[in-house]
Amino acid sequence: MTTRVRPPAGAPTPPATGLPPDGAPSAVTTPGAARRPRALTGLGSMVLWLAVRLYPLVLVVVVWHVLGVRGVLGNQFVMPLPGQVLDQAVVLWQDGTLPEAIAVTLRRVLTAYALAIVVGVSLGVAVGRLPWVRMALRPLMSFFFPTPKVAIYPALLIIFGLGAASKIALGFAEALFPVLLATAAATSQVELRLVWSARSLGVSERGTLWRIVLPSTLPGILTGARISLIGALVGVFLAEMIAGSDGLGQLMVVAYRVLETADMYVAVVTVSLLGFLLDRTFLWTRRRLLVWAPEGEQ
Amino acid sequence: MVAEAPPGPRRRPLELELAPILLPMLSIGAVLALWELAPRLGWVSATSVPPGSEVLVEVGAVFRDPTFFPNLGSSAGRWATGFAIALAIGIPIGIVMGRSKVAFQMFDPILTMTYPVPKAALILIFVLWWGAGDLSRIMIIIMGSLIPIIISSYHGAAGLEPRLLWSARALGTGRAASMLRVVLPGSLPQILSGVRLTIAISIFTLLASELLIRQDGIGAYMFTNLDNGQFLRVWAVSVVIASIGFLLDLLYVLGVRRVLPWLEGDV
Repeated sequence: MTTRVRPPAGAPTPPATGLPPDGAPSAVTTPGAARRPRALTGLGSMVLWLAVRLYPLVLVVVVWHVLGVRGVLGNQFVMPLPGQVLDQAVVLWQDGTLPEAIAVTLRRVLTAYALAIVVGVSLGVAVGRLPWVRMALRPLMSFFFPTPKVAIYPALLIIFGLGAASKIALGFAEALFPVLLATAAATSQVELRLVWSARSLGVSERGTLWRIVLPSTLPGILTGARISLIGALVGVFLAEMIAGSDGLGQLMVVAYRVLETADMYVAVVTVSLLGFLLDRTFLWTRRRLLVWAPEGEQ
Repeated sequence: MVAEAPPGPRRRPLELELAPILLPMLSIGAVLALWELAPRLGWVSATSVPPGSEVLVEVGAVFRDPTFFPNLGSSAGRWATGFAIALAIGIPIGIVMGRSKVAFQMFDPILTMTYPVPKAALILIFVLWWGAGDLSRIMIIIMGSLIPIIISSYHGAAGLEPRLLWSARALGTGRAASMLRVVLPGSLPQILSGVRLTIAISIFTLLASELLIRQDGIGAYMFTNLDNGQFLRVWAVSVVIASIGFLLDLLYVLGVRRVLPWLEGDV
């Protein structure tokens, strides 16, 4: 388990990103001076580690089961038990529906995300570093950032048609702004002395972008990129629900129309697990990318 | 950039003064011109992407449509109810998480697990439980708003300068009172920017749930028009909704500045 360092008291608070506090080993990020986990023996700490991580899952399954058996929210038609949903998931997995839907959705999410990262980071660097780009784009950014992107989904449908492109476009629209704004904010705050030092040591103007600006803004960019990842997933899933012929979203909506309620639960649980795994993978990569930075520890 | 008058000796060059005004107008103008010209020159089909000016005219027709405002009103009512409930639950939970280790460890794994769940998709499940009435649709807005509010309140309370709390305690403020009089105001900047973020997220959830469950509301209005192939009307409603999102955000920022002039930094 990595040790975590909290910024000293009085350090500027991180901006509200709407992100959970980096989940995994967060038991240790607890605020307060130097609260550390008690040194436990190997087995004990493993059990504790597992307990902290698994308890929400166990909690959800137990509460779900109890509510289902008691029929609080309705009978087992509207609320099948966790075991029944699992059985249904196995059935859908074996007949190939589920793996296919996961593959389709995942491919769209990753495409939309990759596009959003490339466009968001390059535009963000331009906005952060070049005043005239910032002045030109600010009104457009401040108009489109708070806009609910579903509102433009009909336009995307009209332009891109009913196929995969409109789904990727909505995922892209959802994912673009967090990483764009985070990159712009981070690059506009690069320590100027770093740039000056590099220049005086003979780094070219263009070289400072790759060797100073991007590395020093990586923590900020990655914070935005994490929000973007879930944005891409939500955008694609929703687009598949609205007008889809395949993917997890379509699985959900078709199940609702034909009242195969267990299938609906399978779709929701699968997409949530997918989001959870993507988020975990992202955090894991981020820690590897930022081993050198204090943020990497957090 | 035009420089009509020669710049005075100690003044900045005129370009530099005009750029902050001209460049934004230029970029907006370019977008509007593209939207106008692309359909007119036949780059895109004018029935699927009508020119900007026609869409603006259609916005007027949307406002005259007697069914539009009742739909907007029912959306706004549900949104305000759900949002207010989410604030009332989320801020206390977030603050307690920020100040109590036990509470943090209790809620944090739940947040981490529910954070990547697409909330709008849950509307179909809620409809199974509670029917397609207001209860389901308000619950979905609460679900959509709760997590970002809790998390920003948590960050605010956890990052509180501990000396503030010590001073208050040393001066005899009780535990409960210091929560209300030190922790809450101290976390306010973070909470307020979290609320700003949440406004955008919750409107997204509202629209998405309305388009999946077409009872009434502005999302249902827009997507019913889409299904009927009324593309011009759809574009106009899109413009209206986008503007509402933008205006809410703007009003929120201005309102916060007005009410809390002592606040430093961005909202």
